[in-house]
Amino acid sequence: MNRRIISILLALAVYIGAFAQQNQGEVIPSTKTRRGLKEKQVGTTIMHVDYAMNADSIGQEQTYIDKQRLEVGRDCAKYSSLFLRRFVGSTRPTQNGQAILRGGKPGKNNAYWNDIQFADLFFKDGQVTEYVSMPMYHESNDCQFTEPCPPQQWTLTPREEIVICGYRCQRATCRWRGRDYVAWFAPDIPVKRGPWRFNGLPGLILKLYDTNRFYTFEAVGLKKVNGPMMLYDFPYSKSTRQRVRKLQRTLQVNYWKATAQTTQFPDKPFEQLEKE
Amino acid sequence: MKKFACIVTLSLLFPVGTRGQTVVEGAVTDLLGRAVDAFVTVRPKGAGGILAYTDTDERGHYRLSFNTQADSVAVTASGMTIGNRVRLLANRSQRVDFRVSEQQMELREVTVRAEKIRQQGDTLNYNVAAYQQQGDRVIGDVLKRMPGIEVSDNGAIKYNGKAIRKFYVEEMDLLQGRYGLATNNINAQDVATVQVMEHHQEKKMLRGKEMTDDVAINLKLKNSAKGTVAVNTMVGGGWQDPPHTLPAREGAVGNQTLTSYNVFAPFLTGRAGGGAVLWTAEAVGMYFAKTRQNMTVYKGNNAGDDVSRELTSHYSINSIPLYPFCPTGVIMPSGSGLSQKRTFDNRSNIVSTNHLEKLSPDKEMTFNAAYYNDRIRREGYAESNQFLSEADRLLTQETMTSETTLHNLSAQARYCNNSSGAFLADVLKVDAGWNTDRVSSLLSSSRVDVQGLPVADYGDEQVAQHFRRPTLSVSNTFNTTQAIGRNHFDLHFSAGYARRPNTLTVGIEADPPLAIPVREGAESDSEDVTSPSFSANAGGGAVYRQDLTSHHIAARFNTGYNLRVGDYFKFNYGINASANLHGIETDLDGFTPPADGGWQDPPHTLPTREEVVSSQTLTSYNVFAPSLTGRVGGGSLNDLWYNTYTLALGQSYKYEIHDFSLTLGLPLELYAQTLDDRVRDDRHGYVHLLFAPSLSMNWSITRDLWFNAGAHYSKTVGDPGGIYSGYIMSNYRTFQRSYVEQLSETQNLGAQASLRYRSAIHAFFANAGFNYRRTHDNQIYGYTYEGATSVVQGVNQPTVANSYSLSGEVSKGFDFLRSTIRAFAGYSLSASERLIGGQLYQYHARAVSGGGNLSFSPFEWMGIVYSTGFSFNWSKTLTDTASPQTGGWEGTTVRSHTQRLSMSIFPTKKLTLTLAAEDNYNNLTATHRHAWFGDAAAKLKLKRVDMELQLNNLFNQHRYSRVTYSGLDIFTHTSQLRPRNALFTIRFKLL
Repeated sequence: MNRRIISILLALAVYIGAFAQQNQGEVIPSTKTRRGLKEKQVGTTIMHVDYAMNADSIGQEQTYIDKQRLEVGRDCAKYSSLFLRRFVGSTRPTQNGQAILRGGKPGKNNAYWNDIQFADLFFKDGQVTEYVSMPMYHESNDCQFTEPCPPQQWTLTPREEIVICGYRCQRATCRWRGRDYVAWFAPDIPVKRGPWRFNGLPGLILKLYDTNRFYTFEAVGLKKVNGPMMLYDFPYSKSTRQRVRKLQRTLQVNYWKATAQTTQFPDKPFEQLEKE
Repeated sequence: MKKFACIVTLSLLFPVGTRGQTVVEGAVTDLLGRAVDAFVTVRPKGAGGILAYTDTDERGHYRLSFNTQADSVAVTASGMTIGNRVRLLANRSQRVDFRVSEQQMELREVTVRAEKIRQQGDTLNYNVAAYQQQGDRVIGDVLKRMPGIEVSDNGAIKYNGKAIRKFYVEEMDLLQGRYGLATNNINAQDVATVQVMEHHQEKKMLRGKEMTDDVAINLKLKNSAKGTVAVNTMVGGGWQDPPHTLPAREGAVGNQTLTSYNVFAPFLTGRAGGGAVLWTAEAVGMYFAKTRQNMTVYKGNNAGDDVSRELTSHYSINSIPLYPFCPTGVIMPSGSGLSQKRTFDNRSNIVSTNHLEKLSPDKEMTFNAAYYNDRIRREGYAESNQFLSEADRLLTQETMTSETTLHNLSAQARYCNNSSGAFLADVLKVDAGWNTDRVSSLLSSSRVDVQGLPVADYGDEQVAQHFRRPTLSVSNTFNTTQAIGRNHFDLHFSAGYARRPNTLTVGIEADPPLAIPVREGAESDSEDVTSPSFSANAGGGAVYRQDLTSHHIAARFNTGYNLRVGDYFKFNYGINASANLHGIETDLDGFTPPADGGWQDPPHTLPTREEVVSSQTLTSYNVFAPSLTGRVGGGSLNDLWYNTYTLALGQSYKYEIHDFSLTLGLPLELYAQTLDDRVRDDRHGYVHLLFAPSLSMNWSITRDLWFNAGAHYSKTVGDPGGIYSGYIMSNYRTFQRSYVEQLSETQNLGAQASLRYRSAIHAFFANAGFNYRRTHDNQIYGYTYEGATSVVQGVNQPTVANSYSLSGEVSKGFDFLRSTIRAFAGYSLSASERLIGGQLYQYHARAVSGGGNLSFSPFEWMGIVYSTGFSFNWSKTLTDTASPQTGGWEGTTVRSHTQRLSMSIFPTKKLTLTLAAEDNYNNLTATHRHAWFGDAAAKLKLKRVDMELQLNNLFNQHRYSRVTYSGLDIFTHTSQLRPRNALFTIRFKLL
């Protein structure tokens, strides 16, 4: 009962405070996310690329939904949220050591959880493992799953080019898991990767968006490094992509209904990145 | 044999054959022959992206198949351990092996810090925050600081030298060309990005098919500004010092001394006196959502702010031009050339409402209405020093005060369906105006010899002018474009009606004639001057009243069928028709028409006068009216319809490959004119066949560099201004009639070329242009003088005029000190002929202009803007009296220079202090060649309220003189300036 009351109060506070500017559901992140997890080395990073997700204005972090980093190694890669890393890094226990205080998550709509931001991807040997952290009251559903990660079926458009981060980029398109995407890749950077699970183009993808612009990713930084690639030692249980996506969708559409079984709040329109 | 001949013929006709599929295969191995994890790409040599790519297999093998017309291709083996290894090959199937050593991947490290300009295809995204300074309130303030974008004084926006053709807010054209409303009212902090869209194609169905050279601007708002109603208001008041009266006479114009009178004071008493209370107010409501936009504005002030500029339409909707004939007007004080705020004595009010409703993703309705009311006062003093003959010059001085009252209402409704399959738009437009001008002036004139000694004094005249000039126009414009397979069909129809029932009333009263100092031995012609000037009025004056009602009915019908022929050719054929019907009724009272009704040669015989004089214009200072009325014929009534009709076969041929296009236009036009003069009971018509070929070329040399060039020829026959036989008072100095016996013919030949460059990465923009124009007329206007009377007439003598101009502009944004620099320069040269006193004179004019501005922030708490501009104008005429050292050329140089320095200081995040100084220089002004101005302002920004105190014209400059020179004549205009004033305003957000 208490849980239900707290949920409703929280929902009211959040709903009144920020009813505008939503392109994601109003889902409350967990203060326990990744608390106490240790990191382990899984490879060597030779370069990393930072992407702004759904930015209003490139270069101004406060206008991004998220800032994400692709770490590229010789035989592996990792994709994770930098804003979430900062959020986790700001964890402070209270004086009695029980509760956890966290600073504000950077970026736009920073009060909320979203399914892309709270997932870490690790690529190796043509497979991807996704580590998924669920929102408040759903931490028990934190999970991981592994599946093949083949390249998308890209169509190149040789005549269309733009410049991103000083690199000439060529246009390519594909349809993947229910959406049409446009990618701009840099042939001068011989890395066949990009944001999220997009890969396989003959050059690093520096910008990618679906044709409805529900999701946009654009590179805002490239750097050569030579350091360990660190991954949380997630103790998450195994699951499948279908189950995870279904739960993520349910939470985004109506978190309060999924959490407290209340019907006081209407469903929110939600455009999941992977529709299939 | 026939088959062979066919093959040879086809080969000649299509030299570029189609290539088959090319296959390149091989292996990528290291120096030891081991397979390397890599991928291989192929692209055409030079420009163009990757055509195909593949990964190497576990043995390092690869196989690429592709199609391209290129002669050579670049095959690249790439990988994180080998970098990029490129081989250039002939475009044929072959085997290519790569043996590569390990190589570290090259990577230019990048960190994006609020990229100022970002290029995305043909769109440049300017980050507003990167250019915004603390004192900037509206988006127009920030636009001025963006490299490549120029905002002129009247609010018009140019991008890299090109005027923009569309202005959108969130990709919707709410304001239909009146984008000054957006740039002057949308808060800068509400805009995330200013997008400049090059090669903008408005019609969705033609995007990617028909490339244009148009530029559009789109404001992308921040989410916080979308879907919410915002209401901003401002009120303010202030005080202005008492005005100074103009002095009696400056004393000299150029090197000619003028005699002095002291008769101007009576005209100025209305303006002299105590100081004035200033007021200003505005209320702006805005709503921008996905399917609905609205902007409603009220602004009013008497503080010199010309708010009507916000209602200026900077691009048209391609509606039919309506111009009811009206050669009548008043003579008013001319502009000062300074910033309008320095001289504008106004009481302005504007109300505008603009609404857009998106009915579906493709369909929208727009409604725009605006009302403008103003009372504008001007005060000025004009001197002219004109060449009469090689022995004499004419000096005139005139002091004027005027008051213009304006009531203008315009409304427009537009429906548009802009889908990817078709385009349809219809616009209904109504404009009405109830405007009047009142002018009081005192004119005096005299004639001097080349030494400046008086020959004759023509006395003074007090003149009152009153002009009622209501107007009404209604028009409808329809345009549709339909796709027919890969071709498309375009139809445009517009029609309109306009009417001007105008009345000009003039009262003239002569002052008693003055004693005329006549130089010894000179032949006196003073008896003309001392005779009563206005015999029509026994009281020593005259009253003229010109009634004029003109109608213009116009219609235009254009069709065009665009046909694609092969991959490279586009043909366009169309039928274009138009009709222009001008009805003119005039009645002139108080003027006695000449008795004989015909033209009499002026005293000076024109050397090459051959046939019938095609038009006559009498420009007379009214002291000579009796002498003119005795020798010039014609009635004072007109009642006629002058109609023109055209029927044209439009045809153009375009060759287009992806970087280059060449267009040849060959329109053929049947042009008919009819005149039905009901006063003279004269009906006749003319029919001509006209041909206006044109050739244009566009070439995208690189992604950032464009070149275009073109040439055209056209011929025009007849002129609506040459049709009336009864006299019309153009102004109180000019009674004019113009009657067609032989049509004027003008041939125009023009050529232009321009080069434009832009680099978004380096925030660098540059453009340069060249223009040439040659005009050949079969008639020339000649000037003869009798006393102070000038007579202008057209005679059948061919004349040629040539003009050339070069211009260039660069602008660059720097991260260093957040600076933007812009520089421009221009050079023009023209050569033509003048017929003065029966003698033909060669006339040459040259002008060099240049300038620039620099905006930078040396510290976080300071912003500086410096702007400067100069112009040198040489004009000269070949005369017999000029010094032999100059080769017989007589002329003068006019140099003018203006510069302004503005410095803003931000002591706190809420307070902005601005100081500005401005200098204006003209080398021919007799006194006060430098005019210095100083302004100051303080802005305090609180949470919900902004306050501002402005102090203008700190040095209390009260007049400014501008001198212009045209070969042999010098004109000086002195304007009364707005005195020192202070204005306090307070802004607050209601919603």
